[in-house]
Amino acid sequence: MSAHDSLERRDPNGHRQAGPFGAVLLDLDGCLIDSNDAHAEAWSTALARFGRSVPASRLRMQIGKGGKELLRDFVTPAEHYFLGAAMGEVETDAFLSRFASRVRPFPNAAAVVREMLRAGLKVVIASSADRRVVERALSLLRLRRALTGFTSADDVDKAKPFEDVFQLAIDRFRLGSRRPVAVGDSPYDVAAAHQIGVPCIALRSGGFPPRTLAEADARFDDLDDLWRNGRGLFA
Amino acid sequence: MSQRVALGFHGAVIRASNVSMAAVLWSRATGLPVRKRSRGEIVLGFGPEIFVVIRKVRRGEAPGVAELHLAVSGSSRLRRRGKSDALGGDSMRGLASGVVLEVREFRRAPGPAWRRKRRGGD
Repeated sequence: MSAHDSLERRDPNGHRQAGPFGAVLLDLDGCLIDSNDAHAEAWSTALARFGRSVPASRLRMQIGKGGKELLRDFVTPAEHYFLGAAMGEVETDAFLSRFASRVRPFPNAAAVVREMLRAGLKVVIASSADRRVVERALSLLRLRRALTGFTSADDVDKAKPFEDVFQLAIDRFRLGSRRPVAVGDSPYDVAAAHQIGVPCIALRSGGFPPRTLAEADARFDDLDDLWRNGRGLFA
Repeated sequence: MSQRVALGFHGAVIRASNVSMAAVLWSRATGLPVRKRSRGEIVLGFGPEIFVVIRKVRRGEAPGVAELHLAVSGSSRLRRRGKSDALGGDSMRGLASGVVLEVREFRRAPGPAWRRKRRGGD
């Protein structure tokens, strides 16, 4: 079920600009693939290898942040500063070697992206995940060649909830004049998009509690629901 | 990143005549707990991120700083990456002004001897 009463674009000065949207900044985990639980398990595994016992259930609601941001709540500042990058590497390795095989695409998600592209929309995957993880997922979805492009955590200094990933996607693929809208599953997508005046549609498919997505400009069950019931939002 | 960037010194090896006394002083100064105690050596710290090793001075050696460990980033893209070590890094050692300088990029989980002992996520 959808709710998009407040959906509108705001320019950097806060002025409202109505849709329709011509470009989609689409998050990967929790939107196209059902991978949030697997990432929580991978982070728990990685932290254990550094002597930290953090259950996946405690990490779950932090998935969607970039690795260094996620770690802040679970390690000391010294560990974060000196070991943060290594912890991220270990998480990626654990995810790819132990957990990625259980990750499945959401039903019809890849088909919706193809329909968006056929409709003339620009679609960029704007993810905070490691590049290897993004590339693997796009291969799984068979979307890599079809997309307008993709970004990953490797392309920016600060991942979500900072705006860098979305801003880079807009700049690199020249989407500024096409009224881009972000589509994500976490409050970190919403925060990142709003920092640069881009509206954000939240998908509940990522498993975040509805109250955490309250700041989103619209909410849908999943990508399929967005395309079926929110088609009018797009050019 | 095409070159090495220094993050900061994260470890030191100190030669001392009285290892126990020096360990107490260094522990008080840094707030680091005793991690490991063996014959002629006490290791202070939680894990590889910040540590001080107090080592018994040997005949012919002077007390003082024996080694400094420098954490860097960007080494992985250089031709000389160093070799894998027990702290979870790729490291290179060299002598600089009478002090052994160990330059390390953390890249993986530490070995069991350096894994953090205090459990939990806080």
